[in-house]
Amino acid sequence: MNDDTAIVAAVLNGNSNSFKLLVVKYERLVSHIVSRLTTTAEDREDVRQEVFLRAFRGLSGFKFESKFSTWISKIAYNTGLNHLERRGAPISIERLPEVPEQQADEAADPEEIAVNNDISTRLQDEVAQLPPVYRLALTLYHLEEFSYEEIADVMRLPMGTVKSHLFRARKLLKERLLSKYRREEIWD
Amino acid sequence: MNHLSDEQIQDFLDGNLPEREEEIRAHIESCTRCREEVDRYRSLYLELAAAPENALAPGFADRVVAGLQPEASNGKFTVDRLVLAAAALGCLVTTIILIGWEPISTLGAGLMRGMMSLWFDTAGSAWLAAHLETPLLVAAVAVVALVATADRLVLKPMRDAAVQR
Repeated sequence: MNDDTAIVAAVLNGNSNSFKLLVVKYERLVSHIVSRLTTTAEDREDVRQEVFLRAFRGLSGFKFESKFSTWISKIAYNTGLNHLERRGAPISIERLPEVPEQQADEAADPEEIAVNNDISTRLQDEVAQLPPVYRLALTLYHLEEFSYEEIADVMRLPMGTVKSHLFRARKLLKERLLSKYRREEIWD
Repeated sequence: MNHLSDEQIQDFLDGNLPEREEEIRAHIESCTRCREEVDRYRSLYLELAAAPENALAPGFADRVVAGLQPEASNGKFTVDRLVLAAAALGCLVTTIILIGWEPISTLGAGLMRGMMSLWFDTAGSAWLAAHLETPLLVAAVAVVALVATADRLVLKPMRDAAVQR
């Protein structure tokens, strides 16, 4: 019996305080997913709380047919999508925005470069401009180390679509970084 | 070997091309352009895997659990629990009636007469009580047990699934 099984059993037996262990364990994962689907800190807090409330209410329906992380990720994803719908934000992503035409040598002015002088900051800025579904696929794959299958399960997409999202998002990020900044400032 | 495409480089870094790994590694060693491109993607992968943590609000888990307390205690009075309690009581009473324990049979008959007197005149009530009281009580209990079972096996899983949607 793994930890999650024991904790879920304790909660279902009426020990709602044991649920705190699950919150602590999966708070980071839920936070990563929710942050890709929300825009303000206040929304993030509300949606995260709603995710765990839904998980608590639906816990008796969790039969360990998947990992608990996958199950709660689905809840986080669905709750985040509902939030986006309520906000009227676009969810469908038929195509990514084009890479800017700007050439490397015409990159942002030196002051801007000085302010955003590390690749992490620049990359996060670029990731933030991607459509939410692409942001989430990148987060689950690279940050949470989910497999293609797990991401497909969470996002209810065919595995080929997940691979395609990841491929296009990474290619776009690489090209955007190269087109906005001088090559040696980023990669060397 | 031609230069590697973006897709081939990503597949290589994702570990999707185990059968071509040696060939690709050899090519990267000998081709400056592909090596640089692979290095760019490697850097991108590393940065994506090291994205800064979203600041977790202190005390978040405590707030979540505090928010659950009313729900957890209210749970004692949810429809689920009431139906389950009724089913358990129904099963107990049915068993007792079926084994013919007189005090319970008498009590059941009295209750049935009382309930039926609300709906029928005295003669009708007496006739019904005389002929149908035990079977009616058993049937009523059976219906409750049936509803509770259906709720547990069919409706509750549907409600749980709805929570996840």
